[in-house]
Amino acid sequence: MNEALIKQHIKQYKDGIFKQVQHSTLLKYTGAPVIDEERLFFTLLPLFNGEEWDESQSKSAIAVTLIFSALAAHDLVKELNATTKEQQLQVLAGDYYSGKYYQLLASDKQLDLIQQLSDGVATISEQKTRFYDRQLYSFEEIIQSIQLIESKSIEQLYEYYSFHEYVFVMKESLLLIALKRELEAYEKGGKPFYISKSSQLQANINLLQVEIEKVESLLKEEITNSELLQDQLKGLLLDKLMRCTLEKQLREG
Amino acid sequence: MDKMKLKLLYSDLKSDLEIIEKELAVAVNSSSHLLNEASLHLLLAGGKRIRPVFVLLAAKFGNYSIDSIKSVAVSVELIHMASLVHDDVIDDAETRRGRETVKAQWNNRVAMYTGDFLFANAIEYITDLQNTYAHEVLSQTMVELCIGEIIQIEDKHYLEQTVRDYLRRIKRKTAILISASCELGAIASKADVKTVNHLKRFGYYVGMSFQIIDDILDLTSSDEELGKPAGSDLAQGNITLPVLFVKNDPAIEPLLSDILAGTISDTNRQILLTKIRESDGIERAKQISNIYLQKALDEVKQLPANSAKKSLQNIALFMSKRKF
Repeated sequence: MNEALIKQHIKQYKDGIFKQVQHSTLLKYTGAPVIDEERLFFTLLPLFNGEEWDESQSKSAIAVTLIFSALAAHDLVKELNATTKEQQLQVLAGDYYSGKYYQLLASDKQLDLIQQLSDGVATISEQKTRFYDRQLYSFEEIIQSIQLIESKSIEQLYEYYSFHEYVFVMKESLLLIALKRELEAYEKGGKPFYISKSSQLQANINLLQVEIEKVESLLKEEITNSELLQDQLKGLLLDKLMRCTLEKQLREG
Repeated sequence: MDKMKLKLLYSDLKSDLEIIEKELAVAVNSSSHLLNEASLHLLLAGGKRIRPVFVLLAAKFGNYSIDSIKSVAVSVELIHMASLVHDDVIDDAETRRGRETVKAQWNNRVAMYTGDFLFANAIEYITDLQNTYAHEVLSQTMVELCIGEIIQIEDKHYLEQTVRDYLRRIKRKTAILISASCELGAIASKADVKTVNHLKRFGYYVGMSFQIIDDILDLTSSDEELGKPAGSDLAQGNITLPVLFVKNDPAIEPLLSDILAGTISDTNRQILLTKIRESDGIERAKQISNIYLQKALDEVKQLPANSAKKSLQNIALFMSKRKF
């Protein structure tokens, strides 16, 4: 599938999701649900690679995106003093999107998928609390947590529909994108989501850079040599994943 | 509410409720130390477990088997627990049932993840029940619960709201989960459709009556009985049924404006509460609660005769007649 068509699909999905969860009060106070386009791209990767994609898979992909929107809404609740109307509704927005994903899959009679995805959400929530735990986790454990938080539900979607061979590229890509975002925000003096909460990451920024390079080279090789991915998609993926690095190199002269 | 007295009304469920309690402990068990601590903290805080009780009692009208209904009972209680954890963030509550809330002990974000974890486990648990209609009921309930909470925030401080607005709000906020507990218990035990519908309506009416009483008690109980300042709902901007009945009383109106604006002194709060207690607002609200209670009892009457029928009747009466 070419880039224009992919963009069109992503837009259609986003519109469909917005329609699914439209609520005037939430829209007014919390805005539209957060939909990470990169993640949506990877949710739909098998479709973009020409795999058969039916109505049920479409609904499941929307459900997975709603899960991430729900979790993202709760990430926007402040750690302290979440007393404004906007913040109160942010709590409810997350719960509402969660209810909607469950409702969507229940209406599609996808009980096994509901079971798997809910198990995944519980796991993601566990991993998120690691960043607040008194217990110290190793650098590797933190990276694993990030990967899980970023990709668990999509991995479950892939496994459910037997798209096992896409899992590696999706998981590593989403990890790479997340780590790059974190590092970039950190270097700009911002408050990246994971780094700001992990002393382990803060103390090992150089290790993070090494991890990024490692994942990037691994992915480059995997994608270039892949017999599964169509050439057009390979180019797009490489461009997407290496873009941040190029932009960074250009900025640094 | 006197938990001991309530427990006596369903003492024959004791061993099955112990199974549910053990199952709840398994359900909140987590690989994350913090989440484990937070969830256990919630579990130890107890609670009436009234929703699981309704699941079990409703299941008595079908082919009762604790193994086939325990996942439903655990699920509805987890949903209730999760919504309380998130509510405490919304209400900025420091304590609940005399214990520090998750958000107070850790922070809002941890409370969000704890609630998410519990909601997710609730859904996962009930997937043991391979009945798509049951999932449509529960998912609809979860969405409606949220909408109820959203409306509650919208309606805060809004004195022009009507009794109908209030009733619609408490339906979603409270009655629907109790109704779903009864309905799902009956579905899980394969009760006939007529019975399922009676139980569903029974749960709805009991839930309505219960919430009205809860709102009355917030105004009529002492600070000590409530474990928080009386009139807290009002101070947070939640306008409840007794207040709607007396909001235009000239002796009440100015004090009402002060409490809603957050500018009331403790002395004036007590004066306002006294005036509300002395008004006919409480009595009129009780009458509405009684209408729902009567409707609930009428639904029970139409159920087939068994031991659970009497228990449902007694619990409905207890919940709607409680003093605090």
